[in-house]
Amino acid sequence: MSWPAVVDLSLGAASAALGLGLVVASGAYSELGAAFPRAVGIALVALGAVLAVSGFVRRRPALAALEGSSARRVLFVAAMALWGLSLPWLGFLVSSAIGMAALTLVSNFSRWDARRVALHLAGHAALLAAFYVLLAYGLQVPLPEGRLF
Amino acid sequence: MELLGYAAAAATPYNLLLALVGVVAGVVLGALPGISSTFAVAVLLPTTFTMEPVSALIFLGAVYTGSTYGGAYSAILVNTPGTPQNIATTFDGYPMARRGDGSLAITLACLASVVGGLVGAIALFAVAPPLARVALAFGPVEYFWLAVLGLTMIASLSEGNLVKGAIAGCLGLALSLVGVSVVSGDTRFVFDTPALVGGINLVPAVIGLLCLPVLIDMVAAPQAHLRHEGKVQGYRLAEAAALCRGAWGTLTRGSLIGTGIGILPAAGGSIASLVAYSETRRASRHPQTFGTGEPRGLMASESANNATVGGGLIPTFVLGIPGTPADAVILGALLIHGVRTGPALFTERAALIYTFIFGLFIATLLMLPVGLLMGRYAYGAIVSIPKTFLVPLVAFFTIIGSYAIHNDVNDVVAMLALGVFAWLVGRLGIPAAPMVLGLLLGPIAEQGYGQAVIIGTATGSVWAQFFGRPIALAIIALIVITLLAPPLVRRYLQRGTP
Amino acid sequence: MRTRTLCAALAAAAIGALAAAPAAAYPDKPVIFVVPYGPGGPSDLGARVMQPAFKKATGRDLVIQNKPGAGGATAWAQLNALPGDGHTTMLTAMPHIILQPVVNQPAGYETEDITIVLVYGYLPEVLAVPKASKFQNVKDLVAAAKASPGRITIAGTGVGGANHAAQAMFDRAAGTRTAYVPFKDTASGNAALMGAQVDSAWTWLSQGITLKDNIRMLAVASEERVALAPELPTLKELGFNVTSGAWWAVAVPRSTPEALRRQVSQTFAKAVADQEYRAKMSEFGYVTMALTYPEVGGFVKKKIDEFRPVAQEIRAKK
Repeated sequence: MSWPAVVDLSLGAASAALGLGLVVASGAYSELGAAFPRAVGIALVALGAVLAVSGFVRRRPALAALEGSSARRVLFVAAMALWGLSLPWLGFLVSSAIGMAALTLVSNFSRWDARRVALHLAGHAALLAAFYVLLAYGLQVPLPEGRLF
Repeated sequence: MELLGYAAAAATPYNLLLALVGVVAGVVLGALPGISSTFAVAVLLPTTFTMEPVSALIFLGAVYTGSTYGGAYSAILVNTPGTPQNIATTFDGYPMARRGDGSLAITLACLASVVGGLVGAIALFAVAPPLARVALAFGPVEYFWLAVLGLTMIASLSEGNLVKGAIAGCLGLALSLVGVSVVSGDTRFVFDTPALVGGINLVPAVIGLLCLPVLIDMVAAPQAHLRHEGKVQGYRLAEAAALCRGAWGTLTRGSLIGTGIGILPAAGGSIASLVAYSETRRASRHPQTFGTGEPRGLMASESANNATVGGGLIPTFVLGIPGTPADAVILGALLIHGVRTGPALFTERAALIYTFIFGLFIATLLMLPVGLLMGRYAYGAIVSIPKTFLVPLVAFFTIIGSYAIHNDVNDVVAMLALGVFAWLVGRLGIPAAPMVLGLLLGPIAEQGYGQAVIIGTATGSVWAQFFGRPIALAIIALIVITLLAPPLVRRYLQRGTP
Repeated sequence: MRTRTLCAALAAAAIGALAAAPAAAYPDKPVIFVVPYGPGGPSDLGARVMQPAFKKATGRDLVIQNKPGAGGATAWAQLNALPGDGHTTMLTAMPHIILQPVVNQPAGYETEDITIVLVYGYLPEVLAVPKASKFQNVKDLVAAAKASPGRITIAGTGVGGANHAAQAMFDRAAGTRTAYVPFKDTASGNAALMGAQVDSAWTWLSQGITLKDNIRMLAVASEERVALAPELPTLKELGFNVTSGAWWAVAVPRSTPEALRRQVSQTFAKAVADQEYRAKMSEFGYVTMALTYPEVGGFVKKKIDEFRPVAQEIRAKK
């Protein structure tokens, strides 16, 4: 079996399973509340079946190769998760400063020298300060203050 | 003669200044993902308490129309609709920017927004009271079919594999089921998590589904985010104007659809731009170019969403029912200023209403210079700053944008989770746009369906509800044409070119 | 070396911040007021009119934070996770917080989880029909509902809200069976009523007055007739024992200390006593009131006794 056919088969199976889950779960709801989950579930089962079978019938074009660094992708997601989850603990300013610093490192492809470091520190600090003023004072968004200090 | 007086009253230096400040503030706030038009108008509402009613209205109207256009910046440049009204703008705007036509796309969005805004304002000026009756003719069934019509767009957003696109649409619908159901009161798919009781919030979900995959790929390789030839080109205004002249049908259609859907209280600007996009694609002789950077798709979406500003104000003024969520805040401003809505508003308070409408015209026209100028800087900034600035900046918007809408870290978590999910399944050929569509239209379809079933059961025939009403039948006909037309057109074209 | 200086500076700043923290005067910074509905609705509007009155009374800003979802349940479920510093408050509405935990299980909270410090407003509910309706008064509507049970449709906002409660109470009082059609918000339910998509609707007095060109109010569910529409009979005087509406209240997280709860209560009471605020609110059709912290307990208990049976009735019918 070709790789795209395997992908289609597993995607089809997964969506059929999800659809089945929706249909089963809708049994616990009232008549009106069950109609949509059931319909969406049935559609997912049917579409999943079609997708799984079509993998055998028709030749699929190969998936596009993954370009670039997977490590950077993983690091990016980790940095974003750290940023988002640390907001209530470290507060808006500290958490964002760390998050922006981490993302700067993840997205950097050039050599660091003193000038670049200074430029980035100043630029990010200015950006953070500007948005802090806009959000906290201009738009009165209550930004997280941080529980740790 | 009186009208000239109102126009003069709208054009006092103070009101002109308010319109300008409002448009600028609106464009900036609208461009920030997570700051919706409703948020922008609501947050600026208290600043208008001390103003004259008409100045307050002009200011809020300018903020509203400016933010609806400003949302196109982030839609075009980083695939993140700045406001929900700009979702359809991402479909062709972002591909245009990717291939190096970002400045053209932003200029086109500005021209289309101004045209749409003017058409909506003209409708408000000339035919508001009769048009408002249309809003009342739309019952639950009509909303149901309208949502189904929107869902047929899944076919056009499926990038080659219809089955995978349909699965994506169903995933979006499934996400829209989470939380307490409006019509049945069932608490569904919350898995004992209090944060899910209110459902998946649209704004963070859209940011995650559309923008996060872009960021994930942006960090992976050193290539520039958007293609551009050497130095940043200018406005490309002549090119954009020529495109608009050649596409007046698209602009007219988009503006009229935007006005018409803006009038419907339970629809709003996001649905208007989606339907305009879908109808434009259907009418096109080469629908396959849509979704790959077709300027007409962008023009349809942007003319429609700005037309909803004037359109949405029609039921707001005439009926006292807000046409869009942002209009609810404007209606509140009217009440706070002691202005009673109703058909009499156009006669008894003619000075107020017509002065405001002229103010809205002025604000819409101001959007041309303001929008072009700010758009140029926004584009210039995004293409010229290095990735080490761009990535943290856009990431900041996604996180703070998701957080700010309800000040809730759970929304940030949902944004990240959906974003990573969208990137993973996107690799396997399941597109994100149909998920957004399902999430947006699912509740409208389900509520319309449930209400129609209750009403149908009470009146004796559910069947007559769904298939026995003229407007519903017209929408059904459109759905059938939308689904069947592309294959027929393709067959016709194939016969033409052996 | 440089790091150590920086640490020292940070530590000094932190100590300074700590030393400044406990202040006797309340409020000593902007007070957050979470509104569990979207911008533009009746509750949001009332809160936004309160903003200038609050500023006048305290010299501090009242910051509105909209947190809509599940008819308010999303926000109320998160109330006790917020800091109990007195500067974080939330709008709650009765009977919603009494109905939801029974009707929408799981709602994510229990009625007893909500600490109310001030009841500050009342929105009477009205029974309305489209302008062109053949029903001229409540008697017509009841007669039609009795003649064909289950055939008369009546719109309202959401399942397990005040409109739903009013419908259930009215059905019981009149001995009728009507079909309740829930809408996502007040505006879309009212649009359906104006377009005669439904036969009748439960809505707010404020909406009834704003929309009077297109709808006809038949009766109000308040104890006494209302000043804005003195010709409108109450359901009570028509012989139906139904009093309903929405009572707005200020709630604080449970962790808020007792003394601070009293301060929050008095501060908001001072704001809603503002003449301009009261004038605006009564112009809209809202009744201003101020039941402060010591009086709140009895009032809430009375409402629970009134509405919990209704909630159980709605749940049984689902």
